[in-house]
Amino acid sequence: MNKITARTFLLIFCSLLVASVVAAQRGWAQGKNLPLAHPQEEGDLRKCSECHETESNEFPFKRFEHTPFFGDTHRLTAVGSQRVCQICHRTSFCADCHGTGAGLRPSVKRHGDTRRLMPHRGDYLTRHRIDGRLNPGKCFRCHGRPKAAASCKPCHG
Amino acid sequence: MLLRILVFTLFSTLSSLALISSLPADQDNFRSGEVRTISSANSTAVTIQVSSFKKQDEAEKEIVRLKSHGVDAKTRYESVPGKGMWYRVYVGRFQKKSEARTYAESLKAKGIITWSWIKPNVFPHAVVKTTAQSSSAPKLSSRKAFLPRSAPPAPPALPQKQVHKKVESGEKQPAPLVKQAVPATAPTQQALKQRSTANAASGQNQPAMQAASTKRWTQFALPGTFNFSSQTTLQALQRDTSTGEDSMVLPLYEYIRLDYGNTEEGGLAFHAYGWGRSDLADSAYFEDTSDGELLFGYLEYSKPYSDLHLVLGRQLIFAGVTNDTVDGLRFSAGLGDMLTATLFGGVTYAADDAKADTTYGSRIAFHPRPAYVVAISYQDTAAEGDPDQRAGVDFSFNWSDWITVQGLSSYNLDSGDWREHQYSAALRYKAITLEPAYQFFSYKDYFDVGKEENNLFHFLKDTDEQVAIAGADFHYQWTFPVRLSGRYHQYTYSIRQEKADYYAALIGVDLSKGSQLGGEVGRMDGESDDNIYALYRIYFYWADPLGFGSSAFVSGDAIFQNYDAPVYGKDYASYFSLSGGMRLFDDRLEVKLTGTYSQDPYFDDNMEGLLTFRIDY
Repeated sequence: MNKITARTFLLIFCSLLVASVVAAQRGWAQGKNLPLAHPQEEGDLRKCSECHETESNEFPFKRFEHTPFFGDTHRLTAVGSQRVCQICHRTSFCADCHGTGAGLRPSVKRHGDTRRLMPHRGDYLTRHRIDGRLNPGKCFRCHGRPKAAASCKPCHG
Repeated sequence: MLLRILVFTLFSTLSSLALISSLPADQDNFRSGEVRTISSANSTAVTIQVSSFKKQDEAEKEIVRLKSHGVDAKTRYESVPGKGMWYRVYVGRFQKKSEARTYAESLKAKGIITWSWIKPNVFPHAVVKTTAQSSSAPKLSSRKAFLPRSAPPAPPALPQKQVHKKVESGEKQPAPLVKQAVPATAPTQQALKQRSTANAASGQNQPAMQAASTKRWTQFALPGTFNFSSQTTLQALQRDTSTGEDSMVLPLYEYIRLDYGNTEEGGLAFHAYGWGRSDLADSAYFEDTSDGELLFGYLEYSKPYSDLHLVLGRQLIFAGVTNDTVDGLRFSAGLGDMLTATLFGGVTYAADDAKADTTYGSRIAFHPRPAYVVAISYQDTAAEGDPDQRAGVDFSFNWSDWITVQGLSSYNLDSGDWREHQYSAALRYKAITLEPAYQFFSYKDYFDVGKEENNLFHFLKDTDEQVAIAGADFHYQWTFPVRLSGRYHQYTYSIRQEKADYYAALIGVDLSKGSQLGGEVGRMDGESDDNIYALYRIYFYWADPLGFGSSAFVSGDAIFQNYDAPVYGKDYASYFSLSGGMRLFDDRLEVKLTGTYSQDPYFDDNMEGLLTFRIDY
């Protein structure tokens, strides 16, 4: 990247930082009007529309509903919505899969919860040879980080 | 480098100023142990909201009615976002949620109430008498310091479905279905002021003053709660070790999570989560891997109904092109209703034998409405000799319930080309949802990040391969409780003369109390034999198998796989698991036991046992 582009980024970065701090202190930071935690701890939190009115465009509840493949597809939903995820999920829930060096793999740590479609279910040791050949980019998202790659090193060096 | 240091210094200073100026004036009380004692004592105290009225006399009538049934009830004048002030009626105060649930169900069974919401106790002084009466309780003068320095504006409401509940008078009262997002235990100064004004207008100034005083006590008494979770898992398995012989491996994992703070009201909070491991069999199986990690540990400041968020410490950052664990500082704030900025800086959480890299980045989102978001993001990681600079665009557009379109594109600023694209849509019609999706990876741009010695995928950057994955997911709620889902993905490559298709079908049957039955069939169908496999799975999860309303469960899983090209002479794999567990002591202790048996190309007969104790406090 050339220096002019880098400095332009930094200029925008710093300007918005200052503006954001000022805005936050002036009470402008109302943002998405979200609570910090979901007020209701009971019920099926995976299906927002069971309780929330979804027809209006004030908040896109439908976007956050968990389909059976949500464990595999949630990246695009979560990529700018960490704040929304945290309304229902503690950070440790995310860290069990996304933490750098999480110890037990998720399907073992949550053993017994067969209702989740775990990414490494069954004999993934053999299956990953094929998935890894066909789409290594998907492996890289988690195992590309140094500590998370520790589980690859015994075989892959 | 100097520029980076300057930016990081500026970033840290401004963020710290924002934090300090947002804190309550009297921080000493926040740190005092007695406050934690009070909050801990209250952390299990709950009450039941049974109705809500706009007019005080109607709330009082409801109380009289409830008392005529022998039910002790009280009312509290509270702010409901977007709906003004309401008189909420509460019954009972309990130390355990399960007790409150049982009591609410008994009232419903008798027809005394039709609706209930179990909430943190809004009358803490009535339950935790020793706390309120304790001579060690902080003085009122210092408690005032915990009120917000300036009264925040009343938060606008989230959209609420108008579910009406019928009260005895025959009138329908709107019951806030987003469950009143402002917690009852956290009246703002604005709310107190409104309450006082409202009561003054109705000639009830004195009670209002008393109420305000009570709220101040309440707010001080609940600055936060302490949560502790411990999960101990013993795994038993046999593995080849460096001796070349099967030996017993008995890793004992301990996961600890600590949370201190008020999850509803925000303010300062602390969160930490980590694990450690000890091999009770003292085998050599884990000799090359870490025996523990602090996955995150950070101090956080947040405000409800605001994007203001400040995090200091080890943390997971997901923001546009960034997906990293970073030791550093992250700051998010809204600039008006339409712009949110997330900025971070620090050092990446490195491997044990690697030097940490400095990193900083940002994501700036423009959202004229929450349903329409466009954001740009940037991350610069200063790995010596191999810098990683990336930028990206992500978006999500939601048109009513019908259509969602979202995507992310990431650009490698060093190589000057796109790393990846990922786009998806959701098209919904009644019980059917169709989710087309597209992904693209350019290997030389995608894998060329970070230091080579830390990146096992680094060799892939030397190819010009590109892969595009297109397809769709399909979901159909056939008839409650049966769900059907399907998936088709096609993989196409720019260099490799091969295509692959992946098909999958899922069925799920949702039964009562969370029980579930299901099955899955999937096939990866490459053009060469060594890229073909099929997977068949059936599973069950049986909640409360004894039928006593307990939180016990039994579950099982059976997975079969076959491979067109044998691996180590074997072209199939099977996996079975059977689990059972129970929660005890008001769900504070969970015990789970799982046994698995598998055969696959790597292991002829593999048996594993897992025993877990989880304690939540």
